[in-house]
Parts: sequence; structure tokens; C-alpha cells
Amino acid sequence: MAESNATLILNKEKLQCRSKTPLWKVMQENQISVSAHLAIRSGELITDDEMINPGDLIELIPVVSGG
Amino acid sequence: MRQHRLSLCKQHYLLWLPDQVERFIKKYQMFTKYERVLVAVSGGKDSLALWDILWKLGYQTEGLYINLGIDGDISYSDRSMNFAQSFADQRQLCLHVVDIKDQYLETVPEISMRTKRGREKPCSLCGLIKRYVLNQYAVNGKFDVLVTAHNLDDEAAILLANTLDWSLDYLARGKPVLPLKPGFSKKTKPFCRIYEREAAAFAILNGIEYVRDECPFSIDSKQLFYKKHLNEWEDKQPGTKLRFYLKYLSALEKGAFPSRQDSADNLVHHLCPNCGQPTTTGSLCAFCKLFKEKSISEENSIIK
Repeated sequence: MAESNATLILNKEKLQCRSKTPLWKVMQENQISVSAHLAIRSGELITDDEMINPGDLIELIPVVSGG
Repeated sequence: MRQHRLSLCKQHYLLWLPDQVERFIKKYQMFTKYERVLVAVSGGKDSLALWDILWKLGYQTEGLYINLGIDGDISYSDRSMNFAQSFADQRQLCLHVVDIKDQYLETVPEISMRTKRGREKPCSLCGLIKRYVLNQYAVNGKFDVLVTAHNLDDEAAILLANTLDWSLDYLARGKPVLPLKPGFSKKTKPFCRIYEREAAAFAILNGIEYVRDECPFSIDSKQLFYKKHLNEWEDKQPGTKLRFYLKYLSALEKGAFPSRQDSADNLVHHLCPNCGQPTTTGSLCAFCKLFKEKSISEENSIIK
């Protein structure tokens, strides 16, 4: 895996993704709905227009609930 | 927040969302600071975020948690109740708890297993039980208003489902405020214009601990199906859900979905001979029928 990559964590699964790209674009490429998730990096909530840095570990939290 | 063309830092976001909620409470004349508000609390992000906001805005709130007895190998109901109780304790707020098993001798999964309605649609059964208990508690407790944390995504998903089915009766009563009627508490939805994602962000930024597991019964639920599709549209066209809901409210206001004479709202309500709650059937209400089915099946098993 190239050093410039980052990691997304969704439902305890790790997903390698490219960095130096806005979060929303990476989510779109991985078919993850921006509207259905929040993102946390280093304990801070980040917006989907934030750039992903090399080595970032970003947790995606599903926000959709219902029954 | 592309839907609002707005970007806020944490500090301003935590001020902005309560401001929005207060604006909608006033706009739709939901309740005032002189009234007693019963908040339906599930232990999830929406209800705890809403309760936190109402408390901070100075409304007179008490919470009600209904323990449905859902386990699903994750002690779902008990864990949810613990989140609600911790939240209330931290803020010294009053949380009432109704335990369905204690009160009616069966958990919701048990009722679900033995009733036709429950086996086919457990979420519909759960909805019936929650609506009944919440209304009964609000009326008996003399609360001025019952508040639920239905958010914009919930409302848009319900609206989409009702539109696909052309359920005119439901479309006629989709307002964020249902007025007080004999036997029925006034019901309001202060989060009706708040995105689910906005409520979750508020909970996380505020350090509110909430149950993150989904209800084990909600897998493959229709509501989640509709939400998934609405979110796909929202991703492509931010603001879709809000536009859909607001245009509907506007159409409703202009009389696009008049309440029909034969709709449930306009039928004469009788009192259920068992519990005294209003019902349109003239016999037992839908809730009491659930337990009549039990006594019939028990009688049959004794005869066998």
C-alpha cells in the first residue's frame, strides 16, 4: 500500500483510500453516502469537504436509524 | 451543511441547532415555556439531543422511556434505557420508565411472536404499543404536550411511503403538530426540519452518549429502505429531503390533502371498554385486542 494512503473505518471494517482528496469524493468513490454518515478524525468531527491527509485514520459513523 | 449552504465551527454549531429548534417550536406553535412537556426518550441520538436542547432552552421537560424488552443478544432495550437514565441523571432531569413486561406480562418480541400483526410487521406492532403508552402517559400525567424526536429524515421517509401508497388519510395529517383532542394528548415534533445527520452531530459534539446499535427488529425495515434512497438523492442534490418535506407542508396548508369525512380523524371516537382510551371501532381498541388474542389462544390451548 502506498504511503500516501489513508484508512476509513466503517462498521469496524478498515478500508484503504487515497489521500490528498476531499472526504466526500473518497466516500463517493467507495459508494458510501455522505448524507448517511458523520466522520471523525483524531477524535474531532470533520466536514465532508475536508482534505484527507496521508496516514489519516477516519471513522465513519452511520447516522441513519429507524424501524 | 450543503443543504443550508452553511459551514459552522463546533462552538457556533452548538448554538445554531438549538436556535433552529426554538424557531420551529415558535413557528408551528408547538408549546411554550409555561407548559409541561413529556419527551419520548429512546436512548438514541435524536431523542437525547432533543431533550438536551429543550432543557438548555429552559422548557419544563420530563422524559418517558418505554422498555420494550427487546434483547437481540445485545440487551438492546436495557442498554438503551441505561443511556437514557445516565443522561437524565447527569442533568438531574426526571425520567419516567414504563416496562412493558412488568405492566403487561410480555415483552414486545413475545407479543410479536404470537400475533399476526407482529409476525408480519414487528415495527408496526412496536409503533402501536409506543403510541398507546406515550399517549396514555401524557394524558394521565396531565402533560400539556407530548414531544417526539422524529427528524426530517423520518418525516421525509414517511412522506415518501405515504405518497407511493397514496395514503390520503395519512397525508392529510402529516403536520408537525397534532392538536389536543378528547383522550388524545397534543403531539409535536420539534426536530421535523432537522436532518438526522445534524441531530447526530449535535449529540457527538456535545458528548452525549447514546445507543448506536440499531434495533434488531429494524433490519430490512421499509423506513430504512426509503431513507437509503432519499440519502442517495440528497447526496446528488443537497436539500432534496428538506424541499420534499417543506413543499408537502405548503401543499397541506393549501388544502391539497383535505381530511375526508370517513377518515379516522373524523370518525366518532368511542371509549375502549377495557382501558378507556379512545377508539373508532366501538369495541376494544387495537392495543387491548393484542391481549384479547392472548387470552383466546390460551383458552384454546386449555381446551386442547
